[in-house]
Amino acid sequence: MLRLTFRSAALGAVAVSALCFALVTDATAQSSDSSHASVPDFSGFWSRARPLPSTFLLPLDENLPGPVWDPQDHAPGGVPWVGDVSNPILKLHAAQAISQRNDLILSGGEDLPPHSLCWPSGTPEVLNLREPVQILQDKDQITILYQRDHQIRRVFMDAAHSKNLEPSWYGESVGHYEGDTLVVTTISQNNRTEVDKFGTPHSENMRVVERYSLDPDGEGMTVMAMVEDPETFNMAWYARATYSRVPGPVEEIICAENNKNASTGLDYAVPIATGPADF
Amino acid sequence: MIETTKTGGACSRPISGIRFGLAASAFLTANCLLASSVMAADGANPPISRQSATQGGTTVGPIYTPPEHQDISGVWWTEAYEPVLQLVGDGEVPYNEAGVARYEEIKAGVASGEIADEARRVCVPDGLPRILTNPYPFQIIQTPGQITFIYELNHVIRPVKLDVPQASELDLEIFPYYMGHSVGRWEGDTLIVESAGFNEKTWFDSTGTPSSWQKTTVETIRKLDDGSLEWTIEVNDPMYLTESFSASYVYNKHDDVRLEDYNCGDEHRDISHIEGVNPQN
Repeated sequence: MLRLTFRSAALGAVAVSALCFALVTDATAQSSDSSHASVPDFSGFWSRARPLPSTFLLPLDENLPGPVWDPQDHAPGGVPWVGDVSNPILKLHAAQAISQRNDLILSGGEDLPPHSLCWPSGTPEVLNLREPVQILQDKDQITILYQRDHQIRRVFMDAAHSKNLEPSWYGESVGHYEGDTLVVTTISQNNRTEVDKFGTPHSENMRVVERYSLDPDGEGMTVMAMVEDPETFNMAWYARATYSRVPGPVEEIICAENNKNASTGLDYAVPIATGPADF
Repeated sequence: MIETTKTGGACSRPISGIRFGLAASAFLTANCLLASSVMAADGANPPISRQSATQGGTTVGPIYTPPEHQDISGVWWTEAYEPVLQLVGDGEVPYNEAGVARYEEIKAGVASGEIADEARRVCVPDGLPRILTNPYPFQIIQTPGQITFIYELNHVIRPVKLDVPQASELDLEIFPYYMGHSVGRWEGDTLIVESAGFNEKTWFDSTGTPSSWQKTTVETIRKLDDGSLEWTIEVNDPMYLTESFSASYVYNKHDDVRLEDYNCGDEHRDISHIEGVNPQN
């Protein structure tokens, strides 16, 4: 029979602790591989929790062309948001589209951007959604889950763009890291979305480069988006979006289920499958 | 930030045959408690742990690499679509009187045009088990503490938090989802996903088979030796069923496929090669 002295008990404890960690017949121990440098950590839940409602922030550098903006002072319950059509980035047809939207709003009409009718937002406008998002960060793919109608963006890491792309709602995004910055380039988005809340259009040739960076404390994230579209804009322009970490989760709230006007109770149109099901 | 080494599963197995002094026992207990590493749960919204107790593999910063026997990540696709639910052991869905009555109600409504298949009409989620047979690809993404199933069809997202308790009964009741709320854990090479808190708006299959808010499901998912994925679901619904039933599915890996955007009314990818797909046009 074993006589347990304190020393043998301590040795036994160390041995059993080692055994406790080693007895993993049904699962390999998770461990950290310190031989590879870590990439910046964007994973988790984020939300646009800043005071300005659903719009881009101006770039910090005043010399950079900024997004379509409303320079008026907007106290709560004050003047409606309308886009500044004198922004030099705008080609004529784009300025006209914004002007028409402004007239609608100023005459008391209802602003119905695509995402209010359960269509996707497209990039960069998706950066203005205020509901939580979750970033899933994998080696080969970063996936951004948006609570707004469960929209999904896929960023293929360290990949080249495909040839002969068919335009789609979110196009094709490829990404890579530059130091602590995540750089995402998106092309081939269809022209059915608007780039901002002012009705600014874009063509299928728009190219968006987003640069994601973490605040020093890791609790905030800034996205600088550069937008190029020679058919719509006279020059590249820059817009900023800031996110804060939130607890999550990304809830399931299905836009098509109950898309009603909050005041009138009437249904908005939602995307509908035309014709019989394909299976 | 470097993560510290944690174990999986060892604490659930009693270590017998060795006797210790008090110091040894306390030391062992402390280490095992550290090793289980599930953060204290806020009942309404348990946080995601980077070091799930039952999940192996390595984590470098945010990048998680599962061990081979727990690697179910990637794009998967069924070979066959079944419009009518195929039960394990064959037979009909074991509805009780209330279930039969509700089924009849739905069938009558569909025939008269008052009720539509909303999942096909306006592309709301198919629910469970219906989505498991769908003929579009889906993707499994594994990150620390969470496995996420993303279905191309109707852009459905199912996040599964690992090694945390299910949401409270109150939360499940006041905020039911089409796809339910899911938590999961690994048992060796098998992923167990438990789901509850479903709304009543989905059907088990395309014939209109109803389910109630009391539905709960348990899915058992594992990779077979040939690289395919075996996926079984057990469905319980005390309000409508006399007993639980199960259905089983197999998916093949498609590394060459990327999921596409899918919105209602758009043209979608060609699925005519999937057995059982019978376009009605």
